[in-house]
Amino acid sequence: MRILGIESSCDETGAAIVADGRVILSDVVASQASIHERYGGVVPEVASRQQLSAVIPVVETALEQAGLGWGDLDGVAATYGPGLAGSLLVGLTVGKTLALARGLPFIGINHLEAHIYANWLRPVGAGVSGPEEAATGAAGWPGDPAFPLLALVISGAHSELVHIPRHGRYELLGQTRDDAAGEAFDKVARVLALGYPGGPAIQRAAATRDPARKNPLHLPRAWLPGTYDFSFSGLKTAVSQIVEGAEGVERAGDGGEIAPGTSRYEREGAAAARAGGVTAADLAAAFQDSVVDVLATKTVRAAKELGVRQVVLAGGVAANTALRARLDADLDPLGVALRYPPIAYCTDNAAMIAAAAYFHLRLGERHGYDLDVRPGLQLPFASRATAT
Amino acid sequence: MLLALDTSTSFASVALVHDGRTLIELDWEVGRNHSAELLARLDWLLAQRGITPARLDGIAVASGPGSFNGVRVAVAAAKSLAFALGVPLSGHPTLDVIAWGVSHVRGPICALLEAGRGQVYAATYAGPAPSAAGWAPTGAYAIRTPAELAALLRTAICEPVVFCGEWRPETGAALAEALGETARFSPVGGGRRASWLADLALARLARGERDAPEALEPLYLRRPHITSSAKAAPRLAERDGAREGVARPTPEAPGGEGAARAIPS
Repeated sequence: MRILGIESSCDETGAAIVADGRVILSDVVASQASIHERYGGVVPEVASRQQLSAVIPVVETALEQAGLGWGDLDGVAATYGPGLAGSLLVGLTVGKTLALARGLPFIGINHLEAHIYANWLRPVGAGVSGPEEAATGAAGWPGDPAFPLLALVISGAHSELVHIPRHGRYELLGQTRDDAAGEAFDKVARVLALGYPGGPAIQRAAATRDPARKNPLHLPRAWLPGTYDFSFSGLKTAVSQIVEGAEGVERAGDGGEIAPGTSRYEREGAAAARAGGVTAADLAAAFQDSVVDVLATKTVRAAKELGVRQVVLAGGVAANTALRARLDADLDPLGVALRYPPIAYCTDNAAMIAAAAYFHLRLGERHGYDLDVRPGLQLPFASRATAT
Repeated sequence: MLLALDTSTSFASVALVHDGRTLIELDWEVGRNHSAELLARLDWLLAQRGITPARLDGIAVASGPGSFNGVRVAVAAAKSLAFALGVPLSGHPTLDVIAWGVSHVRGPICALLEAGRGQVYAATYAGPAPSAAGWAPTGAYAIRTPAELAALLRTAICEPVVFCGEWRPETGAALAEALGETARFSPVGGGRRASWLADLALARLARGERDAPEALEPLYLRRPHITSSAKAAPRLAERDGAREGVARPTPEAPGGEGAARAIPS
């Protein structure tokens, strides 16, 4: 089953064709990051306009790269939430219209669920030949994530720990009470003038530290005992206070426009931010350590309590290598496998939309043409008490 | 078989035209449900006439100005149809469509839509039109207050002006007061019809002109709202709010895009 997936929830326009929810036949993205970097974040109306300009060329390229025509497709899917309403409207309208024009089944996809299903995607060129259901069976392929799963969904807008006993069932264990993890990365990166998006910027800055040198900083952790909830706003405040309070810890980006791809920090080096033995790299590393510590500790505890065999990471923060390494190290002794999508499929992409769509479409699920965008959409949480 | 789509404002219209005859047209109050209602109605409309999408051989779309999201829905749908079916596409400014509806009158015609912030989108035309081919305004598509528009019309035109389109009572009153007897108003709500859009598109397509689906852009007339200092007012708050559904960023015209800045025109 070959599905065209369209993703337009924020500032990237993506289209991908995926076979059987796993094999990526094409994957195309038009990014607006260089446009929004100027503003330190996404301007919704600018994003919506860019979505409309990019969407047809992106879909056309996805078809070309896969070497497929309309007759080769079995369905069309598009994100319908959560995200920016104006951006979502473009991809959803295009998805519904393409399906109507070509008489194909249509399904709207929850962007958060799709991040989880990115774990079903095979690395490109993984050597899966003849990805047809008839040959392999629809239910499960060797190498698929194995239920029951524990998912840590961490992105710019979400931080949730979710138990997934089977396809389509989501039991919320805990979530952030204030900032999402990715949001905290963005905000701290802005305080440290490291650029946007914050996740990769903080990770790069932290990596510039000499690992042999002990970090003079240790930042607080919000443990919220007895819960699987998170809180990151206090941590962000701690970083701000250190920056404002420590004389001479320079905000590298003050007064300057940040050029695409390089932050002032990178251009001027750690020296510009040095004062009293604390560098911006120290701050970035201490912040990252704190976030990773809390996320990993709670995830490991949940994995033990629920007795899951696998943990999956989902969302943009899943690309953080420090988090991956820590979880790998902590879960391995428990005999729990950590899985995460290829780095390119952690952040927003259309392949994950097509992957999630497959697991719905193959059950005969469809959406009508009257499906509207849902900017505040959440995972369809089921109560744990009624878990079967 | 030409399909014409217009969701430029809270009023929407879809029409199927064959051999110059309107087979079916649907005009309705769509509110802000542009995407949900356009595609569902289009599906119904085709089924009503027993027409498969594959029988369409041309797509026309009203390309704005109007509600940003509204305009984008029809343009996104029209681009997708033209691309998926491999048929010609023709985009037409929404003000042209409005004015075409009264193009039989002799003298100046002014097409209006509310733009929010006490301003209107406007363009003036010279009637009567000999044909739909080349129907275009005599000046630029502009965004102005009713007072500015009235002042311009008073200096440029001494004949009575026929206003058509959609406007709030305050706008009509301001124009009537400034222009007196020279202002004449078409009934509001008879705003525009997709079959008028089809007239313009058929004339243009007959001349061999068309728009590429990958290249057609809406006519926004207003720039996106961006504060001058991103550092002082981080935009991420806006993004996050929208993601949580707190501040759905679809404040639509009229009155929408509240703080947007107009292009100096």
